[in-house]
Order: sequence, then C-alpha cells, then structure tokens
Amino acid sequence: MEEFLKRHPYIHFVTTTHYEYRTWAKPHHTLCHNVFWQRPFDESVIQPFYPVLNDSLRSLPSVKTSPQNAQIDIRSGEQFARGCRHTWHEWSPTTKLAYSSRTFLRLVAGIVSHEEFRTLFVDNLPNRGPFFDFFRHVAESKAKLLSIEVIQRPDDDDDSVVFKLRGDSVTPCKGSTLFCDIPTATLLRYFVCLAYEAIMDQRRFSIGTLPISTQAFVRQQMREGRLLVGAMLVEQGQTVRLHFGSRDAAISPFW
Amino acid sequence: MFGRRVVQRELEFLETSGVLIQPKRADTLNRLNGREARRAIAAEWEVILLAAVARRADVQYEKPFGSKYPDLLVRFPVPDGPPVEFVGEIVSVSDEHEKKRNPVGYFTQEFNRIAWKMGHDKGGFDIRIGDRTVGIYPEKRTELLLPSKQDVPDFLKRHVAPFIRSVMAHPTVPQNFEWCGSSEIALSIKYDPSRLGWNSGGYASYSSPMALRSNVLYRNLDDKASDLRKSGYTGLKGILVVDAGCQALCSSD
Repeated sequence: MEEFLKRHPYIHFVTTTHYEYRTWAKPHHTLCHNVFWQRPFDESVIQPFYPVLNDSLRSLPSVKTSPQNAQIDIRSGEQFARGCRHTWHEWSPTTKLAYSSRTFLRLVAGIVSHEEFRTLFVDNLPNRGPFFDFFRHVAESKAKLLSIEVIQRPDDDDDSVVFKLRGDSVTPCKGSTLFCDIPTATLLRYFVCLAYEAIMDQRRFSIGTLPISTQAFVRQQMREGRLLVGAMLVEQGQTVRLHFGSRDAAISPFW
Repeated sequence: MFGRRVVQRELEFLETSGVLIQPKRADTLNRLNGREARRAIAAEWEVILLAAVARRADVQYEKPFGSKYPDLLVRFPVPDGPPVEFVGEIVSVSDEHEKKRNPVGYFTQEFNRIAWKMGHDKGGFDIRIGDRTVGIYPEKRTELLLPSKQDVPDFLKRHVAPFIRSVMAHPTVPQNFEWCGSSEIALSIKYDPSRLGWNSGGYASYSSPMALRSNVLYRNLDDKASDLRKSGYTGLKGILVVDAGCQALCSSD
C-alpha cells in the first residue's frame, strides 16, 4: 500500500475492508478495516475526516458468509438457500421450542426430500433433536399447545417460529390478508408422526400428510417470495393460523 | 456475503434518500440479481458501503466529473469549519484471475469426478502439486505447475486414469504416481489404503502477493487512481477497497 501511495501522490487515502473468519472463543464472520493516509500526514485533513470514515466502516452490517462462498452460492443459484438456518433451535424441553421458520414452512409445505429430512436429525440430542423430542413429548404427555408465534429477525434471512406449552400467553401477531388455517390437532399429529418416524430409522418419511390445499397454499406463498410474518392460535386453540407477509428478499430476487 | 434482507433494506434506504435513482438503480439491481458472481458481490458491497456513508453525510452516486463517474461524492459538515468534501471509488478485489491461472480447484474436482466415475469413491489419495516462482524481484509470483484448465480433463484421462485403474485392481497395496513428463507440470499422487475415507493434498499459496506491483490489489488500485486523476477533481480523493475474495487484502495489514 505504501508503494501505491508513494507512486500516486494525488490519492489522499485508501481504506481496505477484508473478511475474516475468527475461530477463537465464539467462531464468527467479521470485517477488518484499515485506513492508509498519504504521507506526509496532514492532520487538518485527517482530523475532520476520520470520524465519518471510521463511523461508516464500523457501522457496516455483519457478514453472513465469506466472499468465496458467496460467489460459489451465486454461481450455483444457492444464494437463497444459504439464509435458511436449517436446524437452528432454542429449546426448553417440555416447555418451549423455537425453530427455524423457513424449515418449519418447508415441512408444512411438504417440500422436504427424504435426504433433507435426515439432515434435520441432531443425533447427540434425545429423540434425534429438539424438534422431534418436543413433539414426541406433546404426544406422550397429551400436552395442549398454549401458543404459537413468529419472532422476526430482520437482520437474518430466517425467522423463528415459537411453540409454547407453558408460560405467558403471547401478544397478538401482526395480521395479514394472506393466511391459512390448519386444525391444531392435524398439525400436531403430522409433527408427532414425523417425530416417531425419525427415531424408527426408516428410509422414507410421511412428509406430505397435511391437507393438500394447505400445502398448495404454503407452496404458492413461497413461490411468490413470501414468508411467515405471524402465527397464532384461533378458535380457542383449535386452529393454527399462519400469516404471510409481502415479498421477502430472503427467498426472492432483489427489487 | 451480507444478509439478503439487509441488502434489500439498504437498497430501499438509498432509493428513499435519493442517492440511488433510476437508471442507476436498475443497473445495480441487474448486477445484484445476475449470475455473474463477481459483479453481484461488487454490487452488494457498493449498496452496503453507500448506505453506510449516506447515513452520515450527503452522498452523490456516480456524479459526472469530465468523462468519469467516480462512485461517491461525499460532503459532510464539520463543526467550526467549512464542510469537507471528497470523491471516492469503491473497488472490490478478488483472486478470480489467479484462480483461473492456477486451476487447482478444478483439477481436484475433476480428479474426484473421474475416480468416482471409474468406481473408486473411497478416497485414500494424497495429491501434491508443485510450483515455481516466476519473475524477478520485486515482481515475483508463485505459479502452480498444473495443466491449463482446458487441458485438465484430457491430462487426467490420459495419465492419471491408468493409475486409478491400477489402484482399483490392487486396492490393498500403497501406490505412487509421479509425473515425469514436461517440466511445466509437477504432480505426485500417493495412494494409501490406510487412509481410505478421504483425500488430502497440498500446494503453495499462489494468491499471496510476492510482487510490489504485479498483484491484483495494486492493479485495481492503479486503475481506480487513474480514473480519479482523469476526473479532474481537485479536492480530496480516496479509494475504498473491499474484499470479494482476495488474499492480498488479508496480508496488507
């Protein structure tokens, strides 16, 4: 850089921003910034100027992937799939399960292949992972679903869908005119069925036992680039209502 | 690189704040949604950086200066002084050109594909690729001794496939392949049945800059500096370099 600035005295500064994946403590993606000033340093230029530059660079949003992987994703058309947090969960067994909203939607839409379904297994956790353990517990304890909600994460490309069996009831969700209703018992039966199939080590799974009209509706929303913006229990908990929002860049081209 | 929702949000911010207007917005969208990865990543960086600066200062995007259109004209007030102004170019730098010249990724991918197609999917290979340093100090660079990209499939079929066939015929015997043809290629492959299950390998880092000026970072900076000079702008001028997959940036610290 010094060589460049020496040979180009009419350039007053160069900033570089590069990607790093840090593996110590908590592994994370990060950006590192450097500012190189033309010599001799002119304080009258640097002093007013540096804070704006520094603030701008430090305020850049967090990176989700390395530039190399981002390029591979774009070339292979996988840039939409990258944002799905697949098996992400927060889980208090017997009480609450928060799960990747996009994975939940794909299960409801019945578009998860048998191979993809296997990737949901977390073999070092009971009953092949939180999703299956939670719904197995629902079946065995005959617990009643207290609430379902969607927690939006605008800085990520996936949200969380939260099922609660106990605790405080949730605030009413943001409604939309695009929604579908699924009988709570049908949805629970479907997930319980998947949970039992997951622990039975069978080759094929009954992905697709929800009503065809429900699956078709959810698929249509996803095709149009819409994701869940809310979920709630209606009719005294007898029905789960899933609300879809407007076009979402997480799964559709930029506009 | 960034969350898609974040990029969309920044695009909308740039539109509402009047920084990115048609037809430049349409051009940015085309690049963002295109399949040309380098252009898409560069557009993503532009949107993110523009929005970050535009939240703190007045920004004009690609304002014409003579025949040139520098990416940014930034103006911001300073307490107790006249406003500060500068023009800047955003340049995203990647090692794509070096990767094309040293197709090691393609070579191993093709090797695995041919082995798999021949019925050997158990691994056990260790692939070592030789290299040489070309150029005279201070303009040196590392070059891997591999066939050119278009010659890789033919090279593998002619010279390496018989070795894989021999491995398949005697899978319990360790075997070696050493290239002894042209000096433009240096390749050795070891098969070790005790290492079945994966392949390994090694090669020199060809993208770490060894030359002061013959490197991708310097070339990009030089191009942008030339544009800024030709713009005729007499105030502060700067270049904002961003990472689209460039080893030189990590080592510029």
